[in-house]
Amino acid sequence: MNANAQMIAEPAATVAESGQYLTFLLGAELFAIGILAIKEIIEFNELTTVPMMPSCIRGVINLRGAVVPVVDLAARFGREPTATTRRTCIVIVEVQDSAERLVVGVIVDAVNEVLEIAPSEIEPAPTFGTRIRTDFIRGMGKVGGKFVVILAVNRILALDDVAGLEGLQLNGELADAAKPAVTV
Amino acid sequence: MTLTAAESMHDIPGASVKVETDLTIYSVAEAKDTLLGALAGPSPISLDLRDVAEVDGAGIQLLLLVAREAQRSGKTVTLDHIRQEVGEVLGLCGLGSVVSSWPVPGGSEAGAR
Amino acid sequence: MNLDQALETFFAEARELLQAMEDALLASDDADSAEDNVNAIFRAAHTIKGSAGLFGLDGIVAFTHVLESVLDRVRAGELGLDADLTSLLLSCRDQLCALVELAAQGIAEPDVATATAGADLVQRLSGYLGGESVPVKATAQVAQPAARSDQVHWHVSVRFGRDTLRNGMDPVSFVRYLATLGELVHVETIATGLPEAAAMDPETCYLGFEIGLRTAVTRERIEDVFVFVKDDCDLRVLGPGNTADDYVQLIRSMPDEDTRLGEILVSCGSLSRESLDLALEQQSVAPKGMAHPLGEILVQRGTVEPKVVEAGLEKQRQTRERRTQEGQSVRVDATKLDQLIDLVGELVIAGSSVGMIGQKAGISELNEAVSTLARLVEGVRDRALQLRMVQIGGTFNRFKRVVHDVSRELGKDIDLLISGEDTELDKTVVEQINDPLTHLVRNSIDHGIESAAERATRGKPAKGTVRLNAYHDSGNIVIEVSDDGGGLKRERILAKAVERGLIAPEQTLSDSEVYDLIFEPGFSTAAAVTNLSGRGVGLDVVKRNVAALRGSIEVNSDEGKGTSFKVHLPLTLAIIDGFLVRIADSTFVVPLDMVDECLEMERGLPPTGRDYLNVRGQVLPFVRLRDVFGVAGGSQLRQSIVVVKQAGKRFGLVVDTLLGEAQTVIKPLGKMFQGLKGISGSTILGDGKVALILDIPALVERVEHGETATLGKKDRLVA
Repeated sequence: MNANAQMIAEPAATVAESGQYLTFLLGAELFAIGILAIKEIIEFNELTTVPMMPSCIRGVINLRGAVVPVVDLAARFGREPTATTRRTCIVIVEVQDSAERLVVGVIVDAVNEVLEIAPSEIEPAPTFGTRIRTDFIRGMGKVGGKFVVILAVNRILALDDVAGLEGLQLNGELADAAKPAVTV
Repeated sequence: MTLTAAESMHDIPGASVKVETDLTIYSVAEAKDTLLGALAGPSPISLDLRDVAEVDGAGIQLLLLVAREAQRSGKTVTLDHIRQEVGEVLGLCGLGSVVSSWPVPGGSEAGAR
Repeated sequence: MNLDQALETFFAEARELLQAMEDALLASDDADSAEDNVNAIFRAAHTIKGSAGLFGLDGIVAFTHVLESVLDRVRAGELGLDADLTSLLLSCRDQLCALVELAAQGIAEPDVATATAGADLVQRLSGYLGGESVPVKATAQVAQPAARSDQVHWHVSVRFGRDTLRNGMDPVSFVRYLATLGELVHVETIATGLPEAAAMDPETCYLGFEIGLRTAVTRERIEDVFVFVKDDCDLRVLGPGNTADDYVQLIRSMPDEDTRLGEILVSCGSLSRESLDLALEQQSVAPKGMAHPLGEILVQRGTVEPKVVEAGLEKQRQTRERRTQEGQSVRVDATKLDQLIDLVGELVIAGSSVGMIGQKAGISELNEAVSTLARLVEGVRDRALQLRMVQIGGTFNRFKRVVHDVSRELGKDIDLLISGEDTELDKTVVEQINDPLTHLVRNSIDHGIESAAERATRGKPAKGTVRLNAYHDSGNIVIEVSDDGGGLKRERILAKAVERGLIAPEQTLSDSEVYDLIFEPGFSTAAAVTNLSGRGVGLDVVKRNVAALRGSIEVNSDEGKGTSFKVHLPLTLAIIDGFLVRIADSTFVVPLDMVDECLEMERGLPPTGRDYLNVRGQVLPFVRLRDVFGVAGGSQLRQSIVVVKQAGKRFGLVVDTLLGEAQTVIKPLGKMFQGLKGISGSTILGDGKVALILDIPALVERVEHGETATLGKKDRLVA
């Protein structure tokens, strides 16, 4: 699966914003990311933890010579950090920040498949009930009678509340990072 | 406007060398040694041209050589007691300003008076 | 001597006088020689007016007359030479310059712009004359014969053959004859062909002339003058029917004379300044080896003292060198350079990973090849990094203006002394050091240098001195900003620090600890808040900026004698010599230049709560990085300490394992890690793993803030 998943990156460039999504599992829940944002999918191994960062930033990896930060989606949603297994993957996404393109890795429990979801099949995000910040959700896709949470990657990886420690106090979900200070 | 000037040069210490031949093609060969020899003296070096009645192109280029050598060795050379005929040639060659730049008593009165 | 020659003399003299006038005006705020300066200014104006009158240059006379009237009042003490008047007089000097140059080109009537500027200046000058009308008194005694309308300008360029003199011809006689045909505008004797003194044969002709001639005769008549030497000389006659391009060609055809010939053409009135500039621009590569630069000719002609010319010559030489260098260099987009350096960095990493595989495989031939490769790669990397090295001189020179402006604003008289301007450092560092340096320089002028009165009571020269110096010191560059001012006042800093709650009143601090307090946020000891500094935004920002460049700053002071700031910076931001350590399963890099020594803790560390050691009788405080980094799991039994030195202090970093030295390519951590203190970047190790580079100054700050809890504005230690 993981090896095959790398193939997805290739056709992605030619797909218009028509509605192709990569679905993946986080815990038991199904999520989706628009395929245009995805550069590639790699296996999870060798990650360097960056100390003193909130738990949603797992660390950095060497992606062919570039140092790329890796975000733990589950932690970002205020859940328990993802426990790594054989099926754990890092989805490399590229998002446009205000000034630059940012390459970030996203840890997911398992990559599922690429799905076509027509715009008509996408409902707006409910204001509550998903236990995820509403602005992180682009919509709810209907797939085979089930709902898939389509994520707003740009928002999730937005720098203004991931970067720096100042932002931590503002985000309830990240409270676990704001442990008492260790003074030496 | 005359080109005779610099009577005051006497009170400035330095070497003074009297040039005793004309500076023309007929005499430049021996003048060359005299003039370059004068450069050995302490600066400022005064070349006394009162006996020089005639200068031609050969003399001009010799004077320019002396000036260049003096400048290379960090010395100042002045031409003194220039006769009118010599001054005229210097002027013709666009070298007239060497005359005006000499120290003249009462500074402000320098120039074309 | 004819009138043209006299006129020529006048122009040369006027230029000199105008220069003297400018010098005197610029020095007019120098109280010691105020009277001399005023006299010099007046004398210059007076002489120019008198001589101009002699030649019937009425425009110059009229303008100078008004100027002279004002200067007369200044000389009589009726008017003070304040900054406003000085700048007006400077403008007048420039106007006079413009008028003289126009006259030198044979243009009697100034163009509209010049005329308007003149009228405006006269108006402003009149304001200083108490409203009395300014009668323009023409003192012309000799009227210049009006140029006959049928005369046109010709340019004659001639280089005589070597045998001219021996053939019985006198080059001067040709000039004399040309003078009979019309009016010699300007004559320049060209002696660039003169060989070395020993080799110079007095009977060989080395002369040439560049002549500006106004005459009514035809080109043929002019050329005929040279008929006897025609076959043996290089003659060009340019005039009506010749375009600027022909002049440009003339310039180009005389490579030995280079730009000087262009200047001569302008002096001869044969070529306009604009055409010359155009010509020089088009001249692709400056030819080498000019035997007689302009300055030398000036000296030869006795118009300028050698000393005066020396400076000018040096400048010209530099310009020439720079121009030549430009011709040999290629402009490269900075981003392309960065890409190259990135790639070379990759190469280094890839190379070392091949090396590791080779080591594992144990193939000696492979290892040999790899080590050769590594050496080459290192060479390539060093060269690539050198491409980004620039001299700091450019940055330093910008401070001349800063010092001039700021010292004026504060009414202080300050000299800026610059040394070490050829010290090279990475372009990125240079770009980012400007702001901190500006701050330090301003700080020195504002807080460092005392007022003139205060300096006098201390027996110091009234003029303060600020020094900028740069030098290399063991792989780092040190930039010094120092002043000979009042120095830091220890007691005042202490009082302020206690007042601000930065330290406890009973705390005893060493001098350097006291001085370091000035880098605390919100700290300023200036009694009066000035426009420049003293608002409390200052040195803490400087310290932060320097730290962001992986640098450090220290301050030394001698009360009453001066203060010196030393900024230590890495030569480059792209590479770091590091010492690798392991904590849990992560590898960290400690910048090697900060590592003092390593200690193996055979018997384990003291229990938690006592974070210092006795090392050879000295107290060594240490930091348990596992705790700082919030690494889970109990500390290992056998730990090691890396002793680092930062801003003169030693302290230990407790790590699990020492891994040894390595040179690594720095990869900046992205924006996501901007707020992270204590880690300055990352690097990729030979095995492909990412290691993090410790930011020692930030760690020190953390630890110190932790110890003196009062210092910590907010708890920034989050694990």
